[in-house]
Amino acid sequence: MNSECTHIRRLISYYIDGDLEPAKMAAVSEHLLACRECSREHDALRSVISGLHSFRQVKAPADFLEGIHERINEDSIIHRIREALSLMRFRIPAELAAFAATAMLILLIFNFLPSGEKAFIKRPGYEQTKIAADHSVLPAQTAENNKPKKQTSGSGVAPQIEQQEIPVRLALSLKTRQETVAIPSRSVSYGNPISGDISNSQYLRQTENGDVTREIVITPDEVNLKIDEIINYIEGNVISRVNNIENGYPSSLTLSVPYANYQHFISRLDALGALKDPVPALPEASGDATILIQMELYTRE
Amino acid sequence: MDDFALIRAFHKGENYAFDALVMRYKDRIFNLCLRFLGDSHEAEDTSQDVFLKAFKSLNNFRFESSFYTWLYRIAVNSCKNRVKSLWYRFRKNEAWTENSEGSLEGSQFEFMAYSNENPVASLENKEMMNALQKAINTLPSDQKSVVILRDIEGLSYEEITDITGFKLGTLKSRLSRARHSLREKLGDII
Repeated sequence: MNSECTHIRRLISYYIDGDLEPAKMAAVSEHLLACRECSREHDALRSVISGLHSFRQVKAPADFLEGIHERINEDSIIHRIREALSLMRFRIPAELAAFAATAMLILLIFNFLPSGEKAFIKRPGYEQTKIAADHSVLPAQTAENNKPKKQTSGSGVAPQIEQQEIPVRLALSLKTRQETVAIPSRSVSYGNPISGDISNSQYLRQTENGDVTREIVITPDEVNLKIDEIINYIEGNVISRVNNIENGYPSSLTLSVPYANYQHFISRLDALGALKDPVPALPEASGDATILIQMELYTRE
Repeated sequence: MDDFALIRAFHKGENYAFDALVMRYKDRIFNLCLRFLGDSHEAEDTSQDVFLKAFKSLNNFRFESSFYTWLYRIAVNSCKNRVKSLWYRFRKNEAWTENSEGSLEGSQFEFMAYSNENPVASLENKEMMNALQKAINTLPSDQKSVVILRDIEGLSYEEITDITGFKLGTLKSRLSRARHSLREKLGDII
């Protein structure tokens, strides 16, 4: 590896991000076309980044919120013990030490009681309100809802209120081929199926300017999984899904999205370059409203 | 209701608002901790700790940054502190080598990429993702936080500088070093 290769390799990560000046981008491109080793490094680094991108989002455990309530309550008890210790050190005379120690012992024992039996010492006003996973059922912040909440008959579920539904129509253009990647002609095997380490779902083709590019087919299942990933991310729910009988790609989708997450959803679609038409503006609505989205999906290569 | 509205509601004593924030961000914070610590038990414990700290500090929230960058900052610092802790080092050295219940291999938190390929390809992909997580585990904390926030969480440079406090140039060079380091550690797997 010569000094030029060392220099180029330091730039590869920036090159992949398109984060170099045009002259440097061109210099790296030129070097990668000429140097097989650096080109291999470039491909390997791209694979690492691609692997990082494809980590699956894992859901937090189902009892996560309850665990936090427990921690908050425990922290409250520890805080009270600390306060008690502080009082002992500075204010309580020696003859009351035994009394303080007994009180702390009771507090410690109390800490190990089941949560239901120690609910009365929670943060003032901290009702152990459980919220459904879809937080679109949260009550809106109105004068009515700012009143102290009444605990529903032991169920612990936030009160249901009538939700506003806003219908929206979107058209998406789905990519069925991944972005092409320039690879140097020296390491290319032509033909289809392709020999070497390139799978059958990848195709090589030559562009007009003579560069060789690699394309990866994005299958219908992968498209559906990507859509599910985005919907999951913005806490939406799929109501119905229809796949195209001929090619298997999704052709229409109905889903509900919390009003607060709608812009997030649009941003994700926009980042993928999937929005086909201008996005309709939303009317003013309360934060707990639900957007009912009817999407038509078209495939493009 | 947006984050700021929920925080204002919390300031007024409405505790349901905090629960709503937890429900909104629990998966993202849990994932961040999971990638950072590489262990589901540690991730659960640390991410709950993040929300406990947020609960205690939320009354001091000044609306000068977005809630989630504020929360991510707590999460990144909590993960860094956890990595430094003796308990974490003990678990890393003792338990992980025996593929314990909390470790990533063979658990419900196995790392898998989306794949509809044949079973052999899928297995290779799974192995690749496990190898990638192991490589992430060995990165220094600063590099780890940058690569997770940028390449896994997909945050912008601006958001990451806000969360980590790194200058833009430092951030980019750490990202580059982290990626190269991962590539070296993965060797022939890539």
